[in-house]
Amino acid sequence: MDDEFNQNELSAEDLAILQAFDEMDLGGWEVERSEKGISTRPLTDQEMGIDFLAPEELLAIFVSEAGEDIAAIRQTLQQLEPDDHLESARLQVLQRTAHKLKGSTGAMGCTAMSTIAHHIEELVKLITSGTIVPFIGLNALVQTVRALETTLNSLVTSGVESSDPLAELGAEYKALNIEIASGRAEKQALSTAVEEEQETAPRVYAPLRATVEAEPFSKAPQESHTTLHVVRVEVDRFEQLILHTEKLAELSSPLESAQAEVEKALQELQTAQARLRHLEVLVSAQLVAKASSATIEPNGNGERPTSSLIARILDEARQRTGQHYQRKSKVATRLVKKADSFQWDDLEIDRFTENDVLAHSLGEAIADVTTASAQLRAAFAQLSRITQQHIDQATNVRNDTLLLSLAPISALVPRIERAIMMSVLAQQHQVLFEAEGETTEIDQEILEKVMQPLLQLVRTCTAGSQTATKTGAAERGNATDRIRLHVHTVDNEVNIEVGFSMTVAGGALDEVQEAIRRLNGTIVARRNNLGGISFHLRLPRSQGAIQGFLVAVGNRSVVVPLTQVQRIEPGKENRGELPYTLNSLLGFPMEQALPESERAALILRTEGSPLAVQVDAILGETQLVVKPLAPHLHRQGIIGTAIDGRGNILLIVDLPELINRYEIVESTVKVAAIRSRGQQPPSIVQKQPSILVADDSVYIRQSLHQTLSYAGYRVSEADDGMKTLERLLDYPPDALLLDIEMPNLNGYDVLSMMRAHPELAKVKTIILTSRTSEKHKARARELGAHAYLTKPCPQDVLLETLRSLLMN
Amino acid sequence: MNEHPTVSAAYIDETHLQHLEQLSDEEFWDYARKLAHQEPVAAQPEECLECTLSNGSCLIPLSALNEVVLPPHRLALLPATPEWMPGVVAWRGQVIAVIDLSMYLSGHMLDLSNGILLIADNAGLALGLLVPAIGQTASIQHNVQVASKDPTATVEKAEQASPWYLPSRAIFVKGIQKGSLVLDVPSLLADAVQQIETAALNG
Repeated sequence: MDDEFNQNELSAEDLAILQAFDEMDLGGWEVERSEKGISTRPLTDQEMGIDFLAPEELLAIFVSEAGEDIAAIRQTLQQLEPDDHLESARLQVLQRTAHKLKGSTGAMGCTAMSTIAHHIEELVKLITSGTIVPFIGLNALVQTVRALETTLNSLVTSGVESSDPLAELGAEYKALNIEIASGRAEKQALSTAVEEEQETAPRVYAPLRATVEAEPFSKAPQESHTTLHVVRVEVDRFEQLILHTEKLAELSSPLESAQAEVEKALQELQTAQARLRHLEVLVSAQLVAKASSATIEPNGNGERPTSSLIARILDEARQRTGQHYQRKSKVATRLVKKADSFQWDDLEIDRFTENDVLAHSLGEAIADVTTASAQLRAAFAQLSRITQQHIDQATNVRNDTLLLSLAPISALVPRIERAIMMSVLAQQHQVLFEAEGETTEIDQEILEKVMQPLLQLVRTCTAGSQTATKTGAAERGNATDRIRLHVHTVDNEVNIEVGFSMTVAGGALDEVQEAIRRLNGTIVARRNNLGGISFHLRLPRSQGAIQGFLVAVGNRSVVVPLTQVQRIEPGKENRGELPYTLNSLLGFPMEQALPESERAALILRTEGSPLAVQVDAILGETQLVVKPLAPHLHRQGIIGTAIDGRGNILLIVDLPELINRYEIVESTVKVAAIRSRGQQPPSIVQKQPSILVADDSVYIRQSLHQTLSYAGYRVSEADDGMKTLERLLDYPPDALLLDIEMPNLNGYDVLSMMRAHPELAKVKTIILTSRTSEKHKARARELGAHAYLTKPCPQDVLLETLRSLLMN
Repeated sequence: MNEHPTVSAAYIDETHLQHLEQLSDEEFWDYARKLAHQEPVAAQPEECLECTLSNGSCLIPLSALNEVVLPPHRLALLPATPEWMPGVVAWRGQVIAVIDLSMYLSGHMLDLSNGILLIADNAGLALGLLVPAIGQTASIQHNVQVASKDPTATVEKAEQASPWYLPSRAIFVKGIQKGSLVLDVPSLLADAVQQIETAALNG
């Protein structure tokens, strides 16, 4: 068979690529060493126009950077007081710096320094978990940093790192009765245990409701002297009220739908009535015509019975008596009256034929129907008015009930202030906190759910005192760092900006993003006018209702939230790039659809290049009550459902999420197709793919830059998460090499933010980190990374992985 | 005192009679009193609804059903679902998954535009079972000890008939009565829910 795949027909290059995919295992993700032999033609230095650094220059960069990291660790150690409880924020700084050092020393091949840096990480974990007492732990950390410095000195002086300090360190640990896990399995077990412990450690926070009750909130600052009167209501009863009002609001759609049906029936009635009238005219005309033809005498004597009934009676009588009934001729009269033959007169009933009687009855019936129809229309108009009033009142009741559950965001302010006050940052610098628009109200439930993520965001961002010192207040020659909370509403949404004037520690978004997503909100990071970064949260003001566009996909309808759409383009517009189609994004079977040129497109809100999603039609705007899906029905890209007036279920879609999911699935399908058909991959040499290297280590960036440029790629760099994101949005690369530990948004944060930007869905992301545990790999995969490599990573593995991914 | 056989009175045979004869009066009356107070061993016959499927029929216990909904059904597609899940439907204000029972059991697809929707409940979680048609209700008797003399009224072992259902679904068939599969609805629903959940992960 022609289609049958014969592996023998593949070239050595194809086989190498397929093997690389097998080893990469996009499903399971373990990227192992692959065979050497990169087919990409290496470009010459002249062709690339790159000035490569000499090995000694790279070494100088490494030594300088490692020296800075060691100094930072020593400085943090000096700030730690040997109390009963070492401050966790400072320990985190230690751990992060040691982790970075481990990565860069490992990449440089300095195994002794890398091991010592790893020991610092492990010691911090042991202290945090309480396995060793703080005093002993601090002592061990001091010894470890000393060993690190000695080893670096040996590298500088002799060009080779000495392993003696590491050996001596082992003896020190033994004397202090400290066991550092060194085996990979041991390391992972310990790491997992500690991380699990950190995760499961109970965090006790006062619930919001208690806070609100204890501190009666004020409506506005100028009204702060006036305490609001509060009525206490049992939560169950309140929730029941909410539920009932929700059902009341839901009834509006069926009512409107039923009203439309009655309206339609009325119109049909009117049509039928018109047809009857027409029929009546025809019948009348027919009768008149008959009457005219009846002037010719049928029985020769100029007389005939006017009614068939009468004629029958007369015939019977004649048969009985043999006499002819003589009656007065009324033909002349009838002819005179033919124009108004249907002017009924009971006294002259015998003048009319049976048809006349029927025609008259028809006329009467039509008049009755007309009267009934008019009465029905009047009654319907009255019903419509009342229904509209009912719907308006139901909406009022619903809105009033939702108002009951609103609380001002000012309830958050004291807790944020406290979190800042307790931070490492506040102990080193003067921090100015400003709040604006905090009287804005939001659903208590949302406020309660967003509180922990917000506090976590503030805590994480203010934990990295080292970086703050570098680029924050000190850099501006100002002793004050600023943090701001700005809140404002747009339609039914609340926008919260949490801004920092200094560089913030990475990982801030890691825990926050999922919580925000669960609330149907979004979070993005942007550079602010304070010189730092701001996190912008968009949250619905109240839960349960959503405003969106009702759009047609084949013969189905779905709802797209208004907040996701920037504008709508009509079908005739000429669009540059081929847009996504909503049908494909949802994975629904293709149905006969309109020609592409006639389909409307939703242009999404993006910060980069505009992104269009084609739909079959825009049916209108709608406001619906969101029904969350049961856990087994949760789907990526589906926010929830709503039920319309006719009982149809409408999916509420999250277009950025759908695009991300679509791109990942497409990528996997293409790889599978290459595997199964032995397809010849397109050569990547035709175009120079662009790679963005995101790593906070200068040495790693330089080293990668050199390797990738030599392999024929165009390389750009970013040294923190925020710059990475900005660079991605400004110049989307073909692939991103992303480190996890970085300041100002870490690697996970960047991945999370990329999900919120569907225009970046096509960027192939490879995580390049020294974190080796399965937990990290799973997290990266969950966030949409395409491959995961660990440092130090052999060049051939890195290049093969890149090449495999870029074939798509 | 001797341990008495615990068989039901319906099965008193000669051996048992001999055993009774050997009892003393006191033992006999003790035994009689014990029998008199004994809970009936026989399980209550279970009322089931007969459903016609693509290749055969099945019996679904009425106790597992909440409602029978007649067509038309307003099904909505959900992305990334198993092929036997034609969509979701609104039932009493909640969104529930619908399972095409024929396809789930046999893998064969039918036109179910005029199918009957049976709302089943699994530990508080409602699911719709879409079947081409429903028939009469029938009683089934699970307890073989006190089974009726009519062998057709008892649940036969599933292996006795040539199975038209997929081998992987055999675990949800408790037996066969008059050619109809007697389904273990709770297990079937639990499996369906798990597969629907897994389908989301597999994309």
